[in-house]
Amino acid sequence: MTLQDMIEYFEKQCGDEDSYAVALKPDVWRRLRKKIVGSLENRRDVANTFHKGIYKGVEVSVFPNGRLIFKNVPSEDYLISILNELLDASS
Amino acid sequence: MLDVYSIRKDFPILERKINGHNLVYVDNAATTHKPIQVIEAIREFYMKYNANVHRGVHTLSQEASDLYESARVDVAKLINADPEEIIFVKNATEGINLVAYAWGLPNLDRGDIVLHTLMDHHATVVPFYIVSKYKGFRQRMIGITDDGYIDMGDYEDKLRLNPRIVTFPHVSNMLSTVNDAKKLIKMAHEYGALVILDATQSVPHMKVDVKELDVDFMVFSAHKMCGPTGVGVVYVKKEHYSSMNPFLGGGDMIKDVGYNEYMEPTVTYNDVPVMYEAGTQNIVGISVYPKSIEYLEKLSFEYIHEHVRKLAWETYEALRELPNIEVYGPESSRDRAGLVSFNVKGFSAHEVAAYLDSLGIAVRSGHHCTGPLHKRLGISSSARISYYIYNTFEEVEYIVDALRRLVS
Ligand SMILES: Cc1ncc(COP(=O)(O)O)c(C=O)c1O
Repeated sequence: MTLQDMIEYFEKQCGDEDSYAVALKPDVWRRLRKKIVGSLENRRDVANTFHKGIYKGVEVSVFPNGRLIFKNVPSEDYLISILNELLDASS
Repeated sequence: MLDVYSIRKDFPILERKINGHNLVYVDNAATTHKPIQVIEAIREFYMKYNANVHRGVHTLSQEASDLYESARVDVAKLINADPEEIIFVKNATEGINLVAYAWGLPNLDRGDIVLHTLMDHHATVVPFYIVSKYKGFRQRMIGITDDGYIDMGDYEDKLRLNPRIVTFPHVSNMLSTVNDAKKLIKMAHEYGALVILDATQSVPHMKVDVKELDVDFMVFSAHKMCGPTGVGVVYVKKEHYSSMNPFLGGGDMIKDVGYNEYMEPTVTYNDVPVMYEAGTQNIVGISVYPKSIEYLEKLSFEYIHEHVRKLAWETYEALRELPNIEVYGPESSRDRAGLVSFNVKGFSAHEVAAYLDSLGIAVRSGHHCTGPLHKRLGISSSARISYYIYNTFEEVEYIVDALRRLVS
């Protein structure tokens, strides 16, 4: 599956130029949930609802509905490259 | 008082579950939901009256035209204007563009100044920015105080520059400040400036009387007051029509188009306000808009304002008590409307919104089209809770509890 097949939307966040929201398709989220959460460094559970941590130097929040928010992203290309890795996407 | 529980029954969308939770919709400053009465009226229009307006002698066209024109009368009544002072556009943003082009192009020149406030929505600043590139006038912004009011000293100073026109929001869509429109308009007039009042966040909540305010231009959108999307209103004080040119051309705004002996086109415009309504309008949206006005008037704007303000004040006070939350805008309930913007230390506004969404709570995050204001506050974005007639105090508690868990 390519990244495009796995993602419902990919959006730069209004106001915060280096922040992106990514929503995974439900089947992808169900399949990869554990892997994604497990890949976070310095992981913490917030309010018993979502996980926050670091992936390849980028801050990530992982929400229970398959939404991911990436903060302090150095570039869109970098985000795409780490998303490919995180989701095991084929190019 | 509003009977919120019976109001809620009129809004089918409120029955939705979001991420396994009851929907708590508090993004009303962006757009409100529509009651079944409005939804049914849209259906009925297409089923019974659908035709283009102003252009046919056939019965359906005349019936559709009657509905369209009676909407103009109802909207005029809502704000105490004359029907000929009401122009329908597609939203408040287009309304300000109309004024910036139709009034601004013929009246503003190099050396002129247009004043905005730091709490203006982009929709008032950017149309004049575009027109300024053609005409060479300058724009200046009035500062705000740390507690979220227009800085009156700075306002007075900038009025001394003799601006031609001033824009400001009646209610700030980020700070929740209710500006003293009457006073600000009077001051602008004393210095010879006209005023565009951005009433997008006030008309849905409170009685606004253009005659009492003595405002020159005013804009608002139907979709923020239970009406259909694609309908905006521009109020133009009658006397200003004589100094305006048409905005968009074609269709209904024309009385006659011909050509002269040199084969050049000749154009006679229609009378106002139709002269400002080019092409086929959002006929159904405009015709149905009075259903939402009727719905709100039955509830009474006085009660609506009171209810929404109380919800927002309770939220404001509760959030102020929580650690690591910064809440924006005036500290006095008297000067606040129905919304609360805030940030949570350690989380971006988007993370806060995504967290709340996972609990079924719909809030907005971002700069809310108020970039200069966010810059003034030293932030890039904020989360915003905004209430309307169907929100309950239980929902306030649910939201505050969710935020309490986030900060603890
Ligand atoms: C204060 C203010 N002005 C103007 C607008 C623009 O309204 P619309 O998107 O309906 O054109 C908004 C919308 O959020 C607003 O809050």
